[in-house]
Amino acid sequence: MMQFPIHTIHVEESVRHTEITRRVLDRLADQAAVEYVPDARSVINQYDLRRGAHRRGKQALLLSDFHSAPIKPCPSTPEYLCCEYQILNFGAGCPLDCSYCILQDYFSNPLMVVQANPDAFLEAAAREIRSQPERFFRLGTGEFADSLALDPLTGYAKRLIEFIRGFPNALLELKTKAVYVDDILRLDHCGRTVCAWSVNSADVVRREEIHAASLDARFDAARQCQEAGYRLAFHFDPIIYSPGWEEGYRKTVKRIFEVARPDNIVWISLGCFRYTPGLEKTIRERFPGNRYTFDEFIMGGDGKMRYPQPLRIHIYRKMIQWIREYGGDKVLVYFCMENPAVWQQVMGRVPTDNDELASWLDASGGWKKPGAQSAPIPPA
Amino acid sequence: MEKEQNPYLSVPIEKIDPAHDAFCLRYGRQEDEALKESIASLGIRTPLLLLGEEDKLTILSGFARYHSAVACAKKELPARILNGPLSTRDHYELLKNLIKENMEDRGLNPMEQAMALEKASAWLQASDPDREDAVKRVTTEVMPLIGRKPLRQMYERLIAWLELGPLTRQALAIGQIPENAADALGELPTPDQDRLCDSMVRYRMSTGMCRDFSRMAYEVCKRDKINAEDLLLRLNHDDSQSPENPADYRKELLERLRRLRYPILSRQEARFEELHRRLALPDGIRLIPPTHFEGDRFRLEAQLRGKSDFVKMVENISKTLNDKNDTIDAIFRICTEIEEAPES
Repeated sequence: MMQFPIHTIHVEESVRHTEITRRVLDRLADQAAVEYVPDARSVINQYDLRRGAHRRGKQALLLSDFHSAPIKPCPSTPEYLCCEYQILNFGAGCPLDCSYCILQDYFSNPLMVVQANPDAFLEAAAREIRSQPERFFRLGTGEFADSLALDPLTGYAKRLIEFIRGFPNALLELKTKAVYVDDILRLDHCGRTVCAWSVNSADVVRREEIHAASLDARFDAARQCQEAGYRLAFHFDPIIYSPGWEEGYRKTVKRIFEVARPDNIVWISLGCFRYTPGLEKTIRERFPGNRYTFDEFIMGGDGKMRYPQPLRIHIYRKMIQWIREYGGDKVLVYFCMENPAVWQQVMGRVPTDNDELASWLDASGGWKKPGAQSAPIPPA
Repeated sequence: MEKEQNPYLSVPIEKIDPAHDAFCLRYGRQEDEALKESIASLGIRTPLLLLGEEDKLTILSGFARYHSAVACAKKELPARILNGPLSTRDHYELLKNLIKENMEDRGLNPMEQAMALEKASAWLQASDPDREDAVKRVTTEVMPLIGRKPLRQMYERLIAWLELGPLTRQALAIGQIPENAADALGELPTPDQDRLCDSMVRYRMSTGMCRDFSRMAYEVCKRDKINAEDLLLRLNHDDSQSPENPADYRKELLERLRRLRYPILSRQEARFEELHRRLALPDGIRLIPPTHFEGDRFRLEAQLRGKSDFVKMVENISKTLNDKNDTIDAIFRICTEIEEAPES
């Protein structure tokens, strides 16, 4: 098991006696100082983003009561198509510290936060899901955090999988770069959970994802989950362009289909590296050896820096070519935050809007609207 | 600080120790000829402020006057003497007053502002070694005095300028390069900073050019792991040659650097221009690609004088469509295809 370098645990008074708090404290009692605070928000102010705070944030965990919305929409950006992923807001921050992580700039503090009152949190989520039975909730915990990176401490995944199986109009995607799957392999998940891995070329994993599990370990965990009946998904995001990129990414695509059956993959997403100007500064300061922020970028319509469009199209065409070569035509591939021109050029079809893209993924996830004759047909 | 201040005296110049410069807020300014002339003819009219500690007089205020007086071979100077010793907190308060006065009288250039921050921090740390506390106090108390926002980030930015190479510091102090150029150069090793700064100063690049040149130069050096000398070689830049037209030359230099920094965009732009030329649209009509070739919305710009121009334009475009269909196809593929696959 990963040694979690957590030195401080802040516990909000109201969650002092919850099961998650007890579990975390049991596991880290020997290594971390524990501070009880009346209000979690007072802790957050201690970790403003001054130099060094990113590292400090990775060494501190806040066990918080449930304060915010249980489900939040993905913070999509204008002019680029979004799959309308819904974030099941079980926590924020992550111990892995990948150099390119957008959370370094997205959040105003680097603290790792876990909702330590799952009863209240999941009850609120349940109310929201039940209140809209016509709507499909494609939920995930991998956007503001890594879905499994803290699971040996919190045991959250088991709780979420058992929660989601009770809803016919919801699907949970656990998206991770970790491999802590032992606790979920024997669960009765009713097919309502998808286990997804964020993957990359071996070079990028080695250089930029230094605290994450190796590619081999990720694929091994994926294989175990598949054997346990889970459907799988893979995310190439960010794809980082560098000399020799093709060989590295081709090999990773090949590995996916050596491990996963194409008919058991609900989707594969592709997204080239993009960043906010603030993230560029942070990466250059925190990871001075990085070279990828010095590559060629243009400012997109959403204010984020991206590779020039012709290069992105070139990269995506190659990726799709390998996916089709090794995995056949059936696997649904989509772009995370790409513009219609790229969709048209690479896929030959553009979702009319975010809703249509979402409907393709929902359909691949097994959703059929009540009363609908058939599910929408995603592009091959 | 309630020390008694003597009325001003005439002090023999050799009793003053100018080496103690903890209060000097002067950097990079040219020798002040006007001050020297004035001192030579009228003498010093504003007394220096000196601190008397252990039989040694150090300058609190009046470094420029002192050096000009030395240059004019003056033997004595009028001065007020503050009796020491003072606590380091007193020194800090004194420095703050001097900073304020200097800002009101003449302003402080960026290097002088950086020095002021560093000196203020040093005085505070002399009594309390907690650097964080010193930085916090200087940020909130001194930065507003020098006209900067009291932000930690800004404090660190200014302090970083003190580590710049000597040429770069000088250029920043006297306004030959802007602050953001100094920031970009500061990311490089000192010799590279000065080498690039020298080129910007030599060819009198404007503020905007300096900003772009330094940023792109820094990024190419980092990306390709090369030093400034290698970069200038790649730009075919030769200092020993004096270009006939410096304005054209610096523009060309910047363009070459841009091609090096943004090879894909530069190639796409050149290709687009070539295809556009081949289209040979009539004067006043231009096809404009999306910004940075992002998206797929082209614009057609036309300058028309009345209906006849409009009719001519439509005829011309129809003719172009018939005659140059392949070129038009190639133009509209500019946002989606790279002419040659990038190196891999």
